[in-house]
Amino acid sequence: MEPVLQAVSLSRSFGPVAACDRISFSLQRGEVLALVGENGAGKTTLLSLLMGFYRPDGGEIRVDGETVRIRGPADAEALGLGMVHQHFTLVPPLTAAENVVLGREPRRGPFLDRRRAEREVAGVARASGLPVDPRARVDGLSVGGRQRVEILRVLWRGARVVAFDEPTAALSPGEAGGLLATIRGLARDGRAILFVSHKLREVATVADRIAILRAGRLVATLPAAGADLDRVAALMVVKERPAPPPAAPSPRLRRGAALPPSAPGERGRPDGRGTSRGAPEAGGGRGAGAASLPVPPGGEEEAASAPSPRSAPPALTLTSVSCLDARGAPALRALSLAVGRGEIVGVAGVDGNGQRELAEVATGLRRATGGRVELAGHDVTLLGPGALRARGVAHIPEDRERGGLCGALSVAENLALGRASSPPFCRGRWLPRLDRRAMDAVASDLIRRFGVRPEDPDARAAGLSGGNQQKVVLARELSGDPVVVVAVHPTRGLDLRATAAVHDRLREQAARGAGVLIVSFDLDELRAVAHRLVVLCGGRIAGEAAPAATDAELSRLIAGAA
Amino acid sequence: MNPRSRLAPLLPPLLALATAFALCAVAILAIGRSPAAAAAALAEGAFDGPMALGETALKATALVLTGLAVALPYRAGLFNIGGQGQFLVGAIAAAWAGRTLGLPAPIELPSVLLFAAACGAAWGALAGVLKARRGVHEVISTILLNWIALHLIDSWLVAGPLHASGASGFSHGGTEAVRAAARLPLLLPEGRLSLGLPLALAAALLAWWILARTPFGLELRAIGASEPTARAVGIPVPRRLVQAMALGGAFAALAGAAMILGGGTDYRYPENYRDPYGFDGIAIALVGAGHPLGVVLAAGLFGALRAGAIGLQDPTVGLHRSWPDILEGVAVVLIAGQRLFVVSGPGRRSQPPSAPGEDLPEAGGGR
Repeated sequence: MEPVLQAVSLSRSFGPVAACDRISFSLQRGEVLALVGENGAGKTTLLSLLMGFYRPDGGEIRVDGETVRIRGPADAEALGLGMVHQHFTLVPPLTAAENVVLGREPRRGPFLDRRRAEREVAGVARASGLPVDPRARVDGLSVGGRQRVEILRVLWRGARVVAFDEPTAALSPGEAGGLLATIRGLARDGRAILFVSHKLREVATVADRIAILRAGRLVATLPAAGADLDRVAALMVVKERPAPPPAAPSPRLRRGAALPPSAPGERGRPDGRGTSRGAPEAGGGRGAGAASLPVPPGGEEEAASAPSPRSAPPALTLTSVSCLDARGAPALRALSLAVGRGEIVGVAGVDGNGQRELAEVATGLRRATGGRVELAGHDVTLLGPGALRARGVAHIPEDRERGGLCGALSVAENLALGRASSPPFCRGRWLPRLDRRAMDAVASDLIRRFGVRPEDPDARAAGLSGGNQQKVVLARELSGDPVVVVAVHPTRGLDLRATAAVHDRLREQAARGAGVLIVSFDLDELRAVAHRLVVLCGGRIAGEAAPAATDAELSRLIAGAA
Repeated sequence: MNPRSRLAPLLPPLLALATAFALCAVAILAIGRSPAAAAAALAEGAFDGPMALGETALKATALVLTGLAVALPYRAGLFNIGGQGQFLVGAIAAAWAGRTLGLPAPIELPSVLLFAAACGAAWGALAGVLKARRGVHEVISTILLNWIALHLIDSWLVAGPLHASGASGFSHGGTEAVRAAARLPLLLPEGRLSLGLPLALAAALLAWWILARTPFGLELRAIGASEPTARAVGIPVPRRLVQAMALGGAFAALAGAAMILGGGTDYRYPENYRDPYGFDGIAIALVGAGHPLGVVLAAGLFGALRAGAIGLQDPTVGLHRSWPDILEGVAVVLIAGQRLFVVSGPGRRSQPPSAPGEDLPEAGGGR
């Protein structure tokens, strides 16, 4: 059968960098082809070439066997190529139906034929098994709901090839499962699917074939059935690039294995996995009440260096804390949680159940309307982000570009943010001025210690890859020896190697005695780093589990909670 | 580091200026006049002799300062459209203080300048407070404050309490002239080249130093680059916004003071003061790419063009003196158009799309 989509030796360079280097593949009707690779391997560029966002330097694209020229997104759409973006491209105040038809609205005279739009969208929704209310406003929809609108938009426009760029990154495990089923359904209906993801297990369940990209080249295509995921992971990683910390092949492989120290000159840290497994208190038997403060993993021999964990108050204590969300609705409801020194607490749950607000209250970005927040035993309920930061709260925010970094500033400037008025960054009491040389020296040191590429303090942060941007955030947040680290989706959008590096850094902080609170939708991630999991639901802690809990147990907890 | 990347921001304004000059030359040709004669007349009117130099300097002084009044808040993400009102506030403050303070000569001028700057800072800070406390967009509030300033000054202060009392026996409609000790000393025996220009250049240097070399400036730039990040790292964003607007207001007010004290208006606030230097500052900041050095260069260029415009009226040239304004307008439209076209957000231009992570152009540039 003629492949519906075929790329022949497709190439595109940006300056000296070959983002796509002679990539060829073909895609059959009813087939799901997964594209996997590290950050910067060329996955997104490849999709962009197919969707007309960029034009190729060389090679060709064939649709139904005919060579086509895709000059822009409109051409791609006309050819039946559609894409579901990683970052949603919806207009929040419009309804689902309006978003779907936007740009190709059915009209009656000069007006939008709203009824027809809603009818058609409802029809496509029914046919594809995507539950969407065409009249619902998008800003009232959950993340999963918005994504369904994105998918509907592509389908309504008659896409025969649908590309998904990291579609599960923002979804909860339950939603992700639903999406994967949807994708299989689309393939059954005869559509061809391109599926970009970092999550190999997901890829293995949904794809028919796996195409592995590395440094802009297609290095292998394997059938997904029975694929050895460790081999896939190994193929993705560029071997000759010497980047501290050394690569850990895959999160799954890493489980239980001791990790090498992550950077020369830094002291080794205990194996987080081992600690969490062996820690007796990690069991889920304990209630989530305010009174049940956790016992930090002080019995472990590795944690002996942590400052007298038993007598000292926990790093972070929230006692029946309540707060409102951005719209003024209750977000946290009398939530109590403690993070011990040296402990990593993972927060699981469906998006929108107070995770974001929990992180904001803990970092001073959101004022609690009730309850008490304590940092190492001191009441900090009323302090703002600057004061909390000065007292040792580090924050690795959800979105690097909106909370982590200033893209227009240099790496050195970003590393000085939040502490630029104090030495060594600033000199002179009367006329405080930046010490550029000291800033550069600190930056060069942190760049080396955290393995940021390029090794240039003057480089603009916006020009760095996602993984390197996150390293800059980590370097700034963790270099001040924090008491508490609050990390929200710290590895979202990162490849395996960068993910492993982030996890290592968090474990390092715990080993040093910091309390770490990590919010993530990725249960594998939480299992990999946390000593203890709590499940958040409706602004309360709905349950607690050991990291060793099975997927089924956790899903039950999350689903039961939700 | 790559020197090209440092000079890259200069390219759009330079291209726009070159295009604007070319377009104006074509237009002048089209109406049957000579662009070369126009250029010669402009140069002569701007630079030939102390009188011409003085005019260029006076106009450039005001433009440097009002340009800074827009450029500095802009780096913190604020668009200060209120330069005109702040300019007028500074002018009336200088006219009043220069008449009334009566301090010993060596401290009279600095005191008057400081007083004018403080009044402008307070006026600018109003918009900052409205933004920080109530979320009022600074474009709206500064536009409205311009009118409030104009009418408070024109219809009340100058018409009423500060009106020249007629002690000189002759009413000229404005305020009394400021005392000699409050005037900016002239640097040449002839013409109006005064200490104002060096002071404006010093102000530009100060603005650069604040932005590039102080923690305060870094915080302003961080807010401009990403306000959520600035908030997250503990920068007191509302306070900084107020301070940025106050600084902008102070610079604009210094421009007003420089006009009054530098002899631009016979050392008094005239009955109806309508010089739009505050609005011109927006164009200067745009052409100067928001950088203090760029502001100085743009202000010098447009100051010279305006001063030289007088020569265009010469019958041998036969052009109206509004041509420099047209040129400025064309340049601004070109720059604004270029920005709309090229820039999706501060600092996110021309990145290789694979580098910033997984953003697609469409998904990433949502502004």
